[in-house]
Amino acid sequence: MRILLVEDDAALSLGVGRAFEREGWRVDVLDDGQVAMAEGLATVYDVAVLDLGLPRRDGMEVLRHWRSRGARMPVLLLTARDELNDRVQGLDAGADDYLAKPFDVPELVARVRALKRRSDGRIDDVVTVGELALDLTHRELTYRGERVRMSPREIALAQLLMQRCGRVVPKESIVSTLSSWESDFSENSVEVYVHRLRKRFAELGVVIKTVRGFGYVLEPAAADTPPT
Amino acid sequence: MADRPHGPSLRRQLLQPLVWVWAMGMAVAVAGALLLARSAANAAFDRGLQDEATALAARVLWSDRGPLLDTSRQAMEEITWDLADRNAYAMVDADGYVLAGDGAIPIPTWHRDSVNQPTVFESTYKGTPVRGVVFSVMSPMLDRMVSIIVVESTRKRAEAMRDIQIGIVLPSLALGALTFALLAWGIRRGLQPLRDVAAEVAGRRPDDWRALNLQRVPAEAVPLIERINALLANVQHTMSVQRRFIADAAHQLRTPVAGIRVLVQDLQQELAPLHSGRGQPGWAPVLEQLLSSSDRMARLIGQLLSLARSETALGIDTVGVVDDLAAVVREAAEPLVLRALREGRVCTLEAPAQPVGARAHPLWLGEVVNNLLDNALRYGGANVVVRVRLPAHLGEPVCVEVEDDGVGVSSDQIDRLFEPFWRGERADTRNDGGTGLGLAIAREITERMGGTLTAVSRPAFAGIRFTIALAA
Repeated sequence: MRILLVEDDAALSLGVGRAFEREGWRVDVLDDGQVAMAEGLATVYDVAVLDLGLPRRDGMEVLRHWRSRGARMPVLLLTARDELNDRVQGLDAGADDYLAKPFDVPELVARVRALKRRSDGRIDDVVTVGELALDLTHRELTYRGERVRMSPREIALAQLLMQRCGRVVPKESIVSTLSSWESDFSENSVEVYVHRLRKRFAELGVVIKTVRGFGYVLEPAAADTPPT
Repeated sequence: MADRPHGPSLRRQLLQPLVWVWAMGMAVAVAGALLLARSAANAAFDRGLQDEATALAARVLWSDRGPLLDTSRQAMEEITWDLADRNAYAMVDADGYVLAGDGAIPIPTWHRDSVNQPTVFESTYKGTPVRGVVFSVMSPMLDRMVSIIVVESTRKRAEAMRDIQIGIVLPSLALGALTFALLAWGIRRGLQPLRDVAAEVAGRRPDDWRALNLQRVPAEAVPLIERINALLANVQHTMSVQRRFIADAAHQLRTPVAGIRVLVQDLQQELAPLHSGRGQPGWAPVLEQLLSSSDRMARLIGQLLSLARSETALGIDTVGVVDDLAAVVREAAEPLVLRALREGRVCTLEAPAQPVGARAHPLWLGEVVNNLLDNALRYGGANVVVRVRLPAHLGEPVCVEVEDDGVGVSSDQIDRLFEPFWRGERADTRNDGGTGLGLAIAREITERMGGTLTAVSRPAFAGIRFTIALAA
C-alpha cells in the first residue's frame, strides 16, 4: 500500500511515517502544500494523510485542488483544530475522515486501514467479538466456528450490541431496534432480553455489562477471567 | 450616590441661575406694582376728595352774617360719605377759625393758597393718618374768603393698593413656581434615558459587551453613550484578541505535543522486541511517564482551547433550549462511563421517565458534565451518580447533579474548588494527571449558559455533589 503523508511538523511526520512503514506500507512524506498539490496528482496513492496547517498552501486548498482535478484516493485530515465547523468544512471539501491532534498512532493506523478497505469496496459483513462471529448477510452467529442457535430477535439484539462493541448502547436504541419485531415493546422487556442474552453470551466469552441509566456495554470477557 | 465625588447636578446648574433671574424680576415687579398701585389709588381717591371739596364749596352761602354752609339733608346727600371711615369736613375762614363742620379737623397752614384749585394734603385726624383736600373760595364781592377742608382716612386707598399689589404679585409668583416645577420635571424626564442606560448596564452579565441602545437617549448625551459604546467595542476587541491568542497558542502547541506522543509510541514499539529478559525493562517507566506527561499536556491544551472557545461559542443569543437533558448527559458521558467501567467503578444515571428540558447548549452542557465526571473519576469514590432532577416547584431551576461517595473536600476548601489550577491539599492528588482547570471551566461554561454550578461536600454530604442548575 502506498501512502502520501503531508505534514510539516518534523517529529510528527517522522513518527507517523515510521509507524506506517512498520505496517509494511510505502510512505512518501511531504512538508509543503504547494508541492503536495502536484505530487498528489502525479502519483497514484492508496490513501493520503493530510495536515490542515501547511506552509504555502493549507491542507484545505490542497484537498480542493486534488478533488477538482479528479484525484479519488481516500483522504484523512489531520488537524490541530477540532471545532465542528472545521470538521464539516473538511468533510465538505472531500475528506473521508478526520483526526484531531494529538492522536494515538494505533488509531491513525486503524483509520487508514479502514479507509483503504472502504475504497476497495469491501464491506464487513461479519462482526466478530472475541471468538464470537456474527454473519450479517445470513444472520448467523458462530462461536469457534460452530453455529449458535438463537431467535431472530436475539440475533438483532446481538447485532446491535456487537456492532457497537465496547461502547455504551442506550436502552432507547434497543427499544427502537427491537420494536420492529414486537409492536408493543417496552423498556422493561429490554431488560428481559438483555438478561437472557447475557446468560448465553457468558458461556461464549462475551460479557454484557449494565451501566444503570446509561445503557449496556458488550465486551469480550477479560483474558484473565476465562469463560466458565 | 452622595459619598461619591461628582460635579454639581445638572438640575442645580440649570435652576440656580434661573432662580436668581427670576427673584430679581420678581423684586422689580413687586416694587413697580407698589409704586403703580400707590399712584393709581391716590389719583382715584384724591379725585373723589377734590370732587367732594368742590361740591361742598358750591354749598357755601354768603349771607349778611357771614359765610354759611348749607348742610341740609338734600345738599349732603349729593356728597357720598363713607360712614365707616373717619371722614370729616369743615369750613374755616382765612384766619383758620372753624366756621362750620368738625372743629378737630387738621388745617394746613397754607390753606389760603388753595384758591380755585383744590389742593391735596396729608395729616392725622383723631390719631389715624388721613388725606385731605383744601379748597378756598372767595365771596362774590371778593372781600372774604373761606376754605373748605375735607379729610378721609387712608384705609380705603391702602386696601385698594393692597388689592392691586396682590393682583400683580400673586400670579407672577404662581407662574414662577409652575415654571420651576415644569423645569425640574423636564430635566428629570430628559435624564431618565440615562438612568435607564445605567439600569441596563447594571443588569447585564459581566461578559455582555454589546453596544448600548441609543434610541431614547437625548441628543446631548449621544456623544457620551457613543464614546462608551466605542470603549465597549474596544474592550470586546481586546478580549477577543486575547481569546484568539490563547486559542492560537493552544493550536500551535497541539502539533508538537502530537509529535512527542507519536515518537514516544514509536520508541515503545521499537524497544519492545529488544527486551527479552524477565521483569520490567528500565526504560519502560520512562516511556510510560513520557506518554502520560504528553497526555496531560494534550489535555491541558484541550482545556485551554475549550475555555477560549466557550467564550466565543456561548454568546448571549446562542444558548437555546435542550429538550432532553438525559440524552445529552448520556452521549457526553459515554467515554467516561467506559473508563469508569474499566476501572471497576459504578456509574449510574438517574433521570425521570419523561424527557426534562432546560436552557442550555447541548455541546457545552456535555463539556460541563464531562469535566465533572472526569473530576469524580479522578478524585472521587467508587460510586458515581449522575442525576437529572426536575424542580420541586414551578419556576425553580432544573438540576443536573454529579456526585460520588469519595473523601470529598472539607468545608474550608470547598470555595477554592473552582479556582483554576487549585489542586487540593491531599498528597495523593499530586500525580493524578488532572489539569486543575476542569472545574473552573465547568463553572465558567455553566455561567455562560445562564446557570450556576455549586458544590456541597462533607459534612453536609457524604462525598461530594456538584449541582448544575439551569433555567427551566
